[in-house]
Amino acid sequence: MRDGGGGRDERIHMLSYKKIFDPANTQVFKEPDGSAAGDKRDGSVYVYDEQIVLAVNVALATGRPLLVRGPSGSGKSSLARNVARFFTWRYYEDVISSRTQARDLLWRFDTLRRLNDAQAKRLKEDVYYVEPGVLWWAFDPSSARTRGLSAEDLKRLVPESKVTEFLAVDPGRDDSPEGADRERRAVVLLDEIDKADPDTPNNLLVPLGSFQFFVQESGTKVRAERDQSPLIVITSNDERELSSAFLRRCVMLNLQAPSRVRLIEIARAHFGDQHPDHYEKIARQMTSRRKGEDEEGEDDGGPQPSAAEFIDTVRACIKLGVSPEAKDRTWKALSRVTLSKPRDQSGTL
Amino acid sequence: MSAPPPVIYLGDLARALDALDPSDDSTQRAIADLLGLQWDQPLTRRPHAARPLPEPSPEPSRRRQRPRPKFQRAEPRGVALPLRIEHEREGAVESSIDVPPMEASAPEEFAASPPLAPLFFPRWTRAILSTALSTYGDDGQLDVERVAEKLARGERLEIWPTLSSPTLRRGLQLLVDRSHSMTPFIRDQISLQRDLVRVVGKDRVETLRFAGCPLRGAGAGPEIVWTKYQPPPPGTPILLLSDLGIGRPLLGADRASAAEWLSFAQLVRKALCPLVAFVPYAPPRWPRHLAPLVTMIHWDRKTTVSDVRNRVGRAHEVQG
Repeated sequence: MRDGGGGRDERIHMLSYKKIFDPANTQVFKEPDGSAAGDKRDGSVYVYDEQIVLAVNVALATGRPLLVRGPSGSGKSSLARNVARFFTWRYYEDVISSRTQARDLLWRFDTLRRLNDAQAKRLKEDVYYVEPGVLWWAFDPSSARTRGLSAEDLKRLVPESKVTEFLAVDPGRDDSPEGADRERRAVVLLDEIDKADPDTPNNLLVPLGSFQFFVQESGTKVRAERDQSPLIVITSNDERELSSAFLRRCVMLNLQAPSRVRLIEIARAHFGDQHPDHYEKIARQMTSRRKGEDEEGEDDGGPQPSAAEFIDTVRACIKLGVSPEAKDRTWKALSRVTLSKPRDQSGTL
Repeated sequence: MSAPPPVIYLGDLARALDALDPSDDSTQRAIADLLGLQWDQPLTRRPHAARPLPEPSPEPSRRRQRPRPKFQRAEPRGVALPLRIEHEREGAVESSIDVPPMEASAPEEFAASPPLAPLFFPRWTRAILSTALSTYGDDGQLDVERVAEKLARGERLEIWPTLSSPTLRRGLQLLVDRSHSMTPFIRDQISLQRDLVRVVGKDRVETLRFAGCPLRGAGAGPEIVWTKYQPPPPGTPILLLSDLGIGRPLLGADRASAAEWLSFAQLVRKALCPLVAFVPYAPPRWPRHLAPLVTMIHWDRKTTVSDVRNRVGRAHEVQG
């Protein structure tokens, strides 16, 4: 079965094919200084394995969405941004919530602003109130910028002095020097699709499969140009089952909690080679926790730590000068707040 | 609305193999695997051998005379087509029965339970649950008609009227009846609990067990730790998996009286929670006095989504 994490199938090793996407094993896009804190979703560092690379390649080759499943902190969300940075493609993301409707990802109609304008007697054409969603920007940024108006209609409906004000702002815009050279293709991350109501993923089948949709308010048909279709990455924590119809249209990658070796690789990618002992000891402690025991072999009842928590722990140890020794009281206290996080209030240090 | 794109199949595999040009069998299999396809045959493409030039055609007269075998079928050529793998369901809900397993008294093949045939038709279960447990959420598009009406009357818009759409985001409280009379349905309860988690989300399903009637005490763990029943926050639907006392002997100790069930239904109504019961007995046997307060649905193979919609409507109206 498909699985891209630590316990992966032996037969996927040494895969041989013509790669469209061919990153280094550890793909770093800026000097790892270990200073950035919190949940890093910027995709600056990503440790690949063969299965992940193959999954991205298959999604690119087939034009199908890549559905990435796995536990929290296993690298689902940061994969999309890292791929975008690798290709220097535009990047868009939308974190799905229980209120997200499929249409929100295509476009929104700002009824509140329209009503305000109507009451202030400055009502404009409906197209003024159309707000392009992430998929519109990814499929066709030019028409998203003009909210679906053709060049002639733009001239006809919008006074020249108001054109700048009218144009929508690209959320994937990159103001960096290399941003100007970005290609037209894009990577879209639809994060945590399982949070949405069951109908939402099914309502996305047509736009995700055909890379086109129709905007009612402006009468615009939005479609990605041939060979410019975006890579759609969808993540799920499997809190809710997705329909078979949806699953059958996706390339599916299952990430698992990283193995000890992979954790050490991740630490090296983020913090360099200066603290190999730290990486090894913390990774060992973390993998033993997955088996439900602490250093003394007792079940601490805490949730399973993720790769993101591992990075935080290493970062805290380096910054605070704490050595992850089993007997060290400071380390025990630190690991309680970064790794084991006991659920009950009685978890004394 | 145009039709959804086709599911992943041979075209996708062909496209991927063409673009990625895998050079060995294991890579080809890994690609097929990512696409959810299982292919038992070696996928390796054979190199094109130089074909010998065709022999000159025999003269028409000779060709006609060549004997042709009758009804002789050639061996199938090429490789078998890949099969789709149905994505297996994960995250099974564990049974919560705190009873040690009985020792096997028969060989394993006889002792094993027969496969479960769920009470709802499996392909309809998802839709039945969604329909039975959805509530209206006021987060849809602007209700232009209501706005226009208010503005036409010169009234102030104090709330932003939106079109209601069915949603499962309020989750649900699941009340599982562990009375003796529900023993034949324990596997159905466990199976349905698993389906509910898949449809509604595991963080949105609160499961409590009870015996007789929830007012006698309920809880997530074993009976010894059950406490006084508390309804969920207003608007959260409650789903009962119970026979509502139908299958119990009239004088059975855990048979709840009609008054008890009525009190429970009234408590839930007061808490502004829609109450739904999946009852594994036919409608003629349902307690009539509960009908105005409980949306009862026949937990049975013949129940369709339309049946549920007829009872519930598009979704439950809730306040709060």
